[in-house]
Amino acid sequence: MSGMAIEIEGLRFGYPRRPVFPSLTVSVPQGMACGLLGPNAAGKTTLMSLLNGFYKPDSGRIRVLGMDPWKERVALQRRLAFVPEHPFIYPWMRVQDFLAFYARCFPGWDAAMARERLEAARIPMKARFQSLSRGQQGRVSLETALARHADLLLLDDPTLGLDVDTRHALYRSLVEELAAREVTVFFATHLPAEVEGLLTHVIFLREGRVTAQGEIEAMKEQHAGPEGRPSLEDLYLKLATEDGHAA
Amino acid sequence: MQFKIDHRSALPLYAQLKQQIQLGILSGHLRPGETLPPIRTLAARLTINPNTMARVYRELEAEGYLETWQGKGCFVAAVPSAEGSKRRRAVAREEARLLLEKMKTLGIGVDEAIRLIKEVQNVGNGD
Repeated sequence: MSGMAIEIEGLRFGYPRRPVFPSLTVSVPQGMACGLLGPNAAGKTTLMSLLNGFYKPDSGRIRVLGMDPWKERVALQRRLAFVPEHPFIYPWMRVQDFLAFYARCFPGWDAAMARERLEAARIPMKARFQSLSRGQQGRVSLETALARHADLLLLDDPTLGLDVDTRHALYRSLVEELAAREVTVFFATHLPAEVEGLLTHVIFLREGRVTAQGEIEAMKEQHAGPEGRPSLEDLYLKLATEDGHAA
Repeated sequence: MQFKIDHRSALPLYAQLKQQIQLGILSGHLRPGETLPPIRTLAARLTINPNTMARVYRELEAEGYLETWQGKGCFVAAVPSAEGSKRRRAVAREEARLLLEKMKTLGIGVDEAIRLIKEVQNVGNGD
């Protein structure tokens, strides 16, 4: 509980013709579940990519589980699990072959748990990935990542486009993982109201800048009014959107 | 047991859940010896962080409401009746305090609040 799972200081990053982060500073304590909330184009997916070591920062410092993601990507990837917005799984692969492939990529992967959960969700093992529904694909992507039992889970809006049943099934799996071990969760989402109870911390991002970050309870206390305390969604509207800033 | 979570409540989430279990026990809805669902089951059902749920159980256990038996789960503790009525009073007191606070924001004083409570009670009795 002492250290930081994610520590970013003065990060500058941009694509060739589009600056994204002028100077980003964020931290996520170990063992916490931190939401990453912001409107479209705030930089959420870019931040996830930087944490994964997919891009090299222009300047500044990033530490993920104490490692530099760009320089120590291979070592870091062994300890973190990433669930992207659109699952990248070979479309022609059958689910069972994908599980076998995954097991070879990640020694120590909990194949039994993944298989059990996917069977419970009635995912056909012999089906090709491309023939699964969006919800089933999302389920395969999340359950295989959870079965890594990683120290850090990076979730980039994995519930986007899923129906309410499937979203709640994913949340239940996430709760199981949080109950089973100390894991840090960094969760970008567009549905703050659904995951408010799961999260302990939040980072609000808008146009590449952090507008607020910290413990959710403390933030609610800080913005409490005579009629009670704001929900996470209220805070989001107030702190991360244009309307909130104009107000 | 049904739980009601209000993310706009003046009470933090863990305190809301704790209070609801307390009320369930003090009102006799949850009886001594009754089993409570495991932390992870309840957390999954309510979509809340299991650490929050663990804190609720931990505090209720420390306050003597619950007992955890290794390997068997979590049970409602037997409470001596004198202690029970003391606790009921403490919870009722807290509820009264919250009600008065709300009344105050509406510009309604204690005497008027009491009058309103009696008025509501009379309407209820009239049915």
